[in-house]
Amino acid sequence: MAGHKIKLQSNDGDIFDVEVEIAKLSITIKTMLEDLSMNEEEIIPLPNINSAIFKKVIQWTTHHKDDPPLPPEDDENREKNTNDISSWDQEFLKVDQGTLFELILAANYLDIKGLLDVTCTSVANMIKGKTSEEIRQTFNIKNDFTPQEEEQIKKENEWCENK
Amino acid sequence: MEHSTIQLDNLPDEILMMIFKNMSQTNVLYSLIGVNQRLNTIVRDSMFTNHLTLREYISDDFINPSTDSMLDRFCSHILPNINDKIKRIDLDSSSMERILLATNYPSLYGLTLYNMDIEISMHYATGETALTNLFKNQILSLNIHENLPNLKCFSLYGENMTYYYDELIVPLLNRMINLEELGLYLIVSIKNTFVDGNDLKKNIINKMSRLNKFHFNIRSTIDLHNQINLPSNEDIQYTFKDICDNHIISCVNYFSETQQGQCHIYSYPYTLNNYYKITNNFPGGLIKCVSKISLYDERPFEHEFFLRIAQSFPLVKDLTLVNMKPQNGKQTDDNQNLPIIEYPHLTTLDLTKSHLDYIEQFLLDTKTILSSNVDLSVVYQALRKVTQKFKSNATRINCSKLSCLDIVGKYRIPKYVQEYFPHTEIFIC
Repeated sequence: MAGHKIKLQSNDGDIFDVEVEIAKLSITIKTMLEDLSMNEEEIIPLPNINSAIFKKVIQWTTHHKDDPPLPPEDDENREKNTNDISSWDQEFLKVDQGTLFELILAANYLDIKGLLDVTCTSVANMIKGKTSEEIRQTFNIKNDFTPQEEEQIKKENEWCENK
Repeated sequence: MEHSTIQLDNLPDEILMMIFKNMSQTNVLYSLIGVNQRLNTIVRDSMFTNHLTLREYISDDFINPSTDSMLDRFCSHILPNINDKIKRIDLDSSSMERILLATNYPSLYGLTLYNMDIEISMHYATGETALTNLFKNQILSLNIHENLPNLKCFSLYGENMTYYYDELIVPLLNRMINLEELGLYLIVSIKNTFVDGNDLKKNIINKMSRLNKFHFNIRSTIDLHNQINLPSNEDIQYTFKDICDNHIISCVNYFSETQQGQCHIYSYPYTLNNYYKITNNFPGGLIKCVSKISLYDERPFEHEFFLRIAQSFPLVKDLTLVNMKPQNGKQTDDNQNLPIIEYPHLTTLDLTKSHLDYIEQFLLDTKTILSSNVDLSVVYQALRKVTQKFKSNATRINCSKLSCLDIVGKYRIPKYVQEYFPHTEIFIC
């Protein structure tokens, strides 16, 4: 029924009224409603998602509710379309890194393939072309190699820089 | 929104794998080997290390490992780090020596070479060179035999014409005695006979007892001077009757003006992204992977031919036409309701070596619907005639869709020409 809503609760207690058709873009929620026969009057808890992230998820699913279904995975062609992020999605993904990673976790938990694809692609694009040192700086990753291993990497970097 | 504290390194392995799957193996290795212990372990997964493509790409989506600094990093650090994992490598022949010298490859069994350079192939095929010794020793280090016995899979792409098919390519392949999969994609220059089924059987297939997969796409040329008993397309097809399980397509053409014969043979399905020198004898079929084509013949191309081309190559982007013969059916075409041909993905159209009938063929809106943003190369006088001195309404719609016009044979573009192409950037070549 168009416009019919269900209640979804984030892990910080906020309750969201979401149209069923939009909520069902999440395979996890769709399964809860259809296979587990959850009562649509019940509040469905989403223990892994906070309200700020869930708002973003609803924003994304609302915009994409009429998208055609995604084609099946094709490993052979997986690299071809990595720059194909729509301008709306690009704007949507202008968030800090933490939010982007939380969106990935939320999309994975809720099983929303389109959102998972676009967020993963966005991170992949942030990685592409960077050196290991630039990756550590960009993503605040600690270098945990042993001094011996580190020395080897340094030597190699110096050699590359001198080229 | 409050800023989250989650960082890339906090994401579970399965999510990191999902992210990295959006990148080429080369990009993953270049950026992530050596960042920290955990990422090092993840990107050493066979998904990213089994099959490496260390080629120079035009696409923006790939890094270009053939640039010196990147190749340095691959050769000095990345390849030695994952050498035991690598089973197949695709590379350009120009960087083959450097990459294969970088480390040992104990698991390597498949090698695909692109842009085979004649000089390198000469070294490679004739035996006693640094590259040959290196390759032989590394492959042989696990298995003491002669030739290249560990090589099970080999593909050779030659984008330029090769002059040494018999002298280089065949001897090179004959060293791969245990090959199971072979891909051969070549343009062979003038020989006395075509490369056909008999040639492949005698020179290659019969010498590879374990060969069970053979894909090829070979265009060979012969000189027609003093030739007798020229084979027909049926004769060429007959040569394949008992040697290949695959469906083989062949197309034979004889050009009396240039005194040359051309034979194009390929195993189905077609896999290259280009299809050159298509003639009126084009065998047809839907070929979606091709984006670049050239049309050539000494006989005219009629409207029906273009219809077949558009249907066979629905994703064509780049089309070059070389044909100076006027169309025969033009007058009758004009009086018929012929289907209008659409090229929805076309971005580059080169008609500088074509009769003006073909310029008309592409610009008349009763014959063709061009996509937006086409870059057209054309001779000025021919364009002037087709557009009736840049006044014709029949060509105006397609002309308005051109993003670029490369004009040959005119030094200054008159204002009325620019006005006829209001959305087009005009260049003088």
